[in-house]
Amino acid sequence: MHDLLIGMGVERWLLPVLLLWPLVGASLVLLIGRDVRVAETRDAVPSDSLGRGGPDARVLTLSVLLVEAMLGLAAWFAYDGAASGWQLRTDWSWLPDLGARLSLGVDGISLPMLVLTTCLMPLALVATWNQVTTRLPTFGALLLALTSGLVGVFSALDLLLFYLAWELMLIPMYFIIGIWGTAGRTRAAIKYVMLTMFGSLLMLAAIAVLYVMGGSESFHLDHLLRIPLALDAQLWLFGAFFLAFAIKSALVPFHTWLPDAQFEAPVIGAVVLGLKVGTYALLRFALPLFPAAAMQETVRSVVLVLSVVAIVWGALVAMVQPDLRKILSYSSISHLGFIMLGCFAVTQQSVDGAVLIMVNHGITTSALFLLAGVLREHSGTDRLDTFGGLARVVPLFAVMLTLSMLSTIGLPGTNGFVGEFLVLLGTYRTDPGFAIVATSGVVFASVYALRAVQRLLFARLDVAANGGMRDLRGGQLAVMGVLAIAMLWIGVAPQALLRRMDPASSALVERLRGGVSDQTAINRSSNRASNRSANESPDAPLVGVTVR
Amino acid sequence: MSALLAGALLPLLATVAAQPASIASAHGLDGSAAEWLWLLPALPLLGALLNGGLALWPHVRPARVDDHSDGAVGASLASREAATSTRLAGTRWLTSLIGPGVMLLAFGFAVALFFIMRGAGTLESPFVRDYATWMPVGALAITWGLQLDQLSVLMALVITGVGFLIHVFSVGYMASDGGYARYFAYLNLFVAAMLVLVLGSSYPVLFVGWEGVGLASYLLIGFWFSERANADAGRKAFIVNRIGDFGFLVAMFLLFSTTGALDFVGAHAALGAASPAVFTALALFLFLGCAGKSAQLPLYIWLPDAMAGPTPVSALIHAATMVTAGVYLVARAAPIFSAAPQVSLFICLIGATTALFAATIAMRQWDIKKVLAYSTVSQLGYMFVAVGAGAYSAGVFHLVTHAFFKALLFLGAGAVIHAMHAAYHHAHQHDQDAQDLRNMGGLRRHLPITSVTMWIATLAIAGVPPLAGFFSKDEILSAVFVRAQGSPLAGASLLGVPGSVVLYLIYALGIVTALLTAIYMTRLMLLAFTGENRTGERAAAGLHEAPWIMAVPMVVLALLSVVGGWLNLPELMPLGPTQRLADWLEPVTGGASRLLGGSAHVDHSTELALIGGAIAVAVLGIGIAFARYRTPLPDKDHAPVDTGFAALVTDAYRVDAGLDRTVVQPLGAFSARVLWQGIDVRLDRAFVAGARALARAAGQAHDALGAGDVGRYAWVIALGVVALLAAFTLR
Repeated sequence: MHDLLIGMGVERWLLPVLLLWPLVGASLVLLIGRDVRVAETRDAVPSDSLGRGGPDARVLTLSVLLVEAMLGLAAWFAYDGAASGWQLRTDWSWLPDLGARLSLGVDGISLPMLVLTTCLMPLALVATWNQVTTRLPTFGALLLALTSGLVGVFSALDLLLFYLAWELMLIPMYFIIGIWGTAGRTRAAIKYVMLTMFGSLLMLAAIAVLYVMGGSESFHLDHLLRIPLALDAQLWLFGAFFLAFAIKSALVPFHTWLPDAQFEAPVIGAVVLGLKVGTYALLRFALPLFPAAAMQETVRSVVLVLSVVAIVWGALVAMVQPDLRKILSYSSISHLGFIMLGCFAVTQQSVDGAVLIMVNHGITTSALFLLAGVLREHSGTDRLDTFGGLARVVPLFAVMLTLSMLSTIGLPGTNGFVGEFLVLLGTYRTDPGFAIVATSGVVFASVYALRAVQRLLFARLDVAANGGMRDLRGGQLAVMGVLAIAMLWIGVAPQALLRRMDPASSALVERLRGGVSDQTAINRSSNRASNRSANESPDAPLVGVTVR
Repeated sequence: MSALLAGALLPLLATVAAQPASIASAHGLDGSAAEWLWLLPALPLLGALLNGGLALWPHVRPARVDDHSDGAVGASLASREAATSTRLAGTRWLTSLIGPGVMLLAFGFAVALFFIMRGAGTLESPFVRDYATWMPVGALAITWGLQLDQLSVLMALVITGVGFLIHVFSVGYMASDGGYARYFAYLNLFVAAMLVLVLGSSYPVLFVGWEGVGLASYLLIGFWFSERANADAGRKAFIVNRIGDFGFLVAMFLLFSTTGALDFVGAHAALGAASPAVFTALALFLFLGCAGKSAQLPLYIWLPDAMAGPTPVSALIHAATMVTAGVYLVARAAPIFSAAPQVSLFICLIGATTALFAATIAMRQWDIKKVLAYSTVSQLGYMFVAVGAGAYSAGVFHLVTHAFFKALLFLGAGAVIHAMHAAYHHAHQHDQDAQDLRNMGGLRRHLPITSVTMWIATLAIAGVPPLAGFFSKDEILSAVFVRAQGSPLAGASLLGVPGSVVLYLIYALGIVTALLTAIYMTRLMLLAFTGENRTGERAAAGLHEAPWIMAVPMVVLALLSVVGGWLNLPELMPLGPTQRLADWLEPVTGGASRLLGGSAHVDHSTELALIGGAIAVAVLGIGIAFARYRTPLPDKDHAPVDTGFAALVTDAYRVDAGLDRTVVQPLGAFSARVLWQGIDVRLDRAFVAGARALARAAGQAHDALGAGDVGRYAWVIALGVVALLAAFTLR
C-alpha cells in the first residue's frame, strides 16, 4: 500500500489537496447543494419551494467528507513509519514578500491527529444525520470549511499559515454554535469566540515578534527553530503561545467556555470542539520553539500543578453534573490534565501517551457525544434524571455507551488505558508526586462515568415515553461500531500508532531535555537500584539530536 | 460489549505469531502443549464472544413487529421484549452448550498442562511466551506475554475446574432468566479475565485481568439492573476496587522507574539491589491493590453488597476466584513482599483483624448470603495472615480449599434460595424474603442433598478434621506460631511493637476467629435446615430439592471439600505424602518464604498441642452453636429489637453509613457547591464580564452583543479575516 501510494507520487500533492478539497467542496455545496426540509418523521421530504434543484446538500457534504477521509487514510499509508522528520512535505509559494509559504508536512505527532480528524468528520455527520434540519447548504459549507481549518492546523509548518487555519476553525464553529445551537447558544458562542480570539491575538503578536527576530525572512517552523533565543524572550513568547493554547484546550482555569459551548452546540459541533487542537499546537510549536522556557522550573511547576488540578477538578465537577454532555465536557477537562501532564513531564512515554490521549479522546468522547445526541433526538434532552432503565429498551445503545465510558475511565483493553498508563508511567519517572496525585483521577473518573451509565441505563424504566426509544440502527450503529473497534484496537494493539509517534516524540524529548535519551533518563531517575536489565535492553533508542 | 472486547482480543491472541523464543536458555516446556497457553484464556473469551453475540443479535436485527404500531408506548416495549425473548429462547440450548462447554475444554487443557509440567520434572523457572507487543515506547517494552509456572497452573486448575462446576450449576439456576445468554457471556468473560490475571507474565498484563475481572464482577453484580440497589452495589464494587487499583498502578510506575522492566522475571531480578525503602513502598502500594480486590480492611465494604448478583456469581467470583486475586498477587510478588518484612507483618495484622472483624458481623446476619459474604471476608483475612507471614504456600493452600467449600456453601445457598423463590412463587407470596434465615428452618426434609453437602462444607470451614479446611487453616496458624520466635519476621517491628508480640497477637486473633467461624456457620445451618419450618404452610408445599444439574456440582465440590486437605498434609500426619503443595510451589515461593520465615521451628509436642487446640476450638464452636440456636426462633415481627453493641454488630458496625456521611456526601457537596457552583460558575461570569469589557473597549456596540444578533457579529469577524487575507495576498 505504502509503495503503491509513493509510486503514484502522492507525497507531492496529498496535503495541499487535503487542505483545499474541503474548501472546494464548501463552494460546491453552497452553489449547487439543495436544501431539504426534514420532517418530524425520519424521512426527508424534498420540497421544491426550498430552492434550486441539484443534489441534497447533506449528501453532497458527506460525499466531500468521504473523499477527504479517503485522502486522510492515504496519508496514513503513504507515511513511512520508520523515518523521522517531516513527510509528505510540500512547499508552495504563497506570499513571497513576507516569506510566508504554503508549507505543509506531517510527522508522527500530527499524522494521527490529521487522520483522526478526516475520518471522524464523515462519521459524525452520519451519526447526526437528522439533527440539523435547517439551512443545510450553509451548514454543510461551514462544516467543510471547519474541516479545512483543522487539516491546516494539523499540517501547517508555516506559522502564518497555521495562524490562518487556526482562525479558519474559529469562524465556522462560531456560526455552527450560533445558528444551530440550543437556547443558550448566543452567550456560549460569544464566550467561545471572545476567549479564543483573545488568546489567538496574543499568539499572532508572538508570531510577529518571532518573525522579526528571525530576520523577517520566513514563517517556517524549521527556520524559527534555529533562532537562538535568550531565556527572557523565550519566557514572554512561550507565555503568549501557551495562553492561546491553554484557552483553546480549556485548561483550568480557562475551561469554563467548554462545557457551555459543547452543551449549546449541535452535537457535531461538540465533537469537533473535542478535538485537541490546543495541546497539539503546544507540542508542535510552543514546546520545541521555546524549550528553555518550557523546562524552566517555575513554568513547569505551574503547568504541572494546573494539570493535576484539572484532572481532579474536572472529574469532581463531572461527578455532580445533571446532563450527560456536561459530564462529558468536564471529563474532557480532566483528560486535558493528563495530556498537559504528559507534555510537560517530557519523557518519551509521557509524550507518546499525551498524543495517544489526544487521539483517544477524539474517538471516545466523540462516541459519547454522538450517543448523547441519540438521547436528544429522542427526547430533546440528555438530563440523566429524565432517563433510567434504558438498557432494557435499547441494548445496543447501552453496550456502546458502557464501552465508551469504560474507555473514558481507562479500562485496560481499551484505548483509554494505554494513553493514561503511558502518561502516568512517564511522568512518574521525573515527577512522582504529580504522577501519584494524577493517578487518583482513575478513582474519580470511575465515579462520574458509572454514575452516568447507571442513571441512564439501569434501575427502572420510569418514564413511559422512553419505552419507545429506538435503538441504534443503520448509520448510527455502523458509526458506533467503527468507533468501538477503534477503541479496542488501540487498546490492544497501539503499536501501529506508537511506532509512528516514536521518532517525533523522541526528537521532541531530546530537544527539550538537551540530548538526554530515554535510556539515560531512566538511569538517572533510578540511581537507587541496579539497572542490569535496563542497560542491556536492546531497544534503547540512542538517536542523536536532530535539529529539523 | 463483551462480544466486542472479545472480538478485538481474539485475533490478537490467535496470531500465535510463532515468534522465535526470546529466552536464551532452553526450557523444559519448550515445544510442548504449553506453547498453546494462549488458548486457555482464549477459550472462555470465545464463549463470551459467542454468547454476547447471541444476546445482542436479536437487537441488531430486530423483529419487525412493532415498527409501525406507535400506539401505547409501554405496550410497544412489552411487545418488543416479548418478540426478543421468543427469539432468544430458540438459542438458549446453544448458550447452555457454549457456556459450560468452553469451560470444560479450558479445564481439560489446564489438566493437560498440569500433567505435562509434572512430567517435565522440577521446573526452576517459569515458561514465558510473548505473543505480541503491546506498548513499546523507548525503554518500555510491554508485551502480551503469558507465563506458566507451578503457581499459575494451580490457579488455572481452580479457576477452570470450580468455574466449570459453577457454569453447570448456573444452567439450572438461571434457566428461567430472561438474560440467559447475557449471563453466560459475562460469566465466560470473567473466567477469561481471571485466567489472564493468573497467567500474565508481567504486571501490566496481570492488571488487564485484574480490571477485567472487576468489570465482569460489576456487570454481574448489577445483572438484575432493574433494581436500583443491585446496580448501586455493582458500582460500589467497581469504585472501591479502583481505589485499590490506584495503588497497583503507582506500584507499577515505581517498579518501572526503579528497574526499567515490568515483567515478573525481569523486574524481580533487577530489583536485587534496590533500597529497603523502595521495597517497602512497592509492597505497600501493591497491598493497597490487594486489599481492594480481596476485600480487606478498610476496603472490604463492597463485598457484602456484591451479594446482589446471582448466587452462582457470588460462588465463583466473590468467594472462589476473583476475591483471592489479592492473595495470588502477594504470592506472585513474593520477592517484593519478602524483602519488606515490616509490610509483611502489617499485611499479616490486617488479615487477622479483618478475619475477626468480619466474623463478628457474620454472627448476627439474617440474610443467608450476607453470612457467607462476611465469612468470605473473614477467610480471605486468614489467607493474608498466611502470605503476610511469608507462608505463601499455606496461603495458596487455603485459597484452594476455600474455593471448594465456600463455592459449595454459596451453591448450597443458591439451591436454598432457588427453592424458596419457587415456593413463594408457588404460594404467590412475592413480598417474602427468600434469603432470610428467619423464613427457613427445617429445610433438611425438603432439600436433603443440599443439606448434606452444605454440612460437609460447614465442617470443612469450621476446621473439623480430616476435612480440607482443617488442614489449610491449621497450616496457617501454625506457620504464624512458628515464626513468632527466631524468624526474620519476628525481628521486624510494627510501630515499635516487636514482631514476635504482633505474631502472637495474630495467632490469638486467628484462634478466636476460628471459634467464631464454627459458631456462625453452625448457626446458619441450624437456622436453615433444622427445627420447625418457618416458610409458611402454603409456600412450604412448593419447596423442592435442586434439579440434578445443580445438585451434581454440589456433590463434586463436597467430595473436594472432604479430600482437599490431602493436597498438603502436615509432616505430623502421615496419612499420605506430606507437604505436596508446598513442594510443588517451592520453585515459585520457596526462597521468599524462607527469607521471612528463616529456619524457625517448634518441637513436635508443641505442634501437636496446637493442632489439638485447633480441633478443640472447632468442636467447642459447633457445640456452642448447638446449645444456643437449637431453640425455636421467635417470630420475626415480634422478636426483641437488638440494642447497644448487638445492634451495632447487626448493622455491620454501621461502616457504610459512616462512610457515606464522612466521605461520600461531603465530597459530593464539595464538588457541587464549592468547585462547580462556587468557583466554576463565578469564574465563568468573570470571563464573560471580562469579554464584554474587552468588546466595549474595542469600540464594539454593546447592544449588538446583548441583542444576540449572532449573524451580524460573526459576519463582521469573517469579513475582517477575509479582508486581512486579501490585503496580505494582493499587497
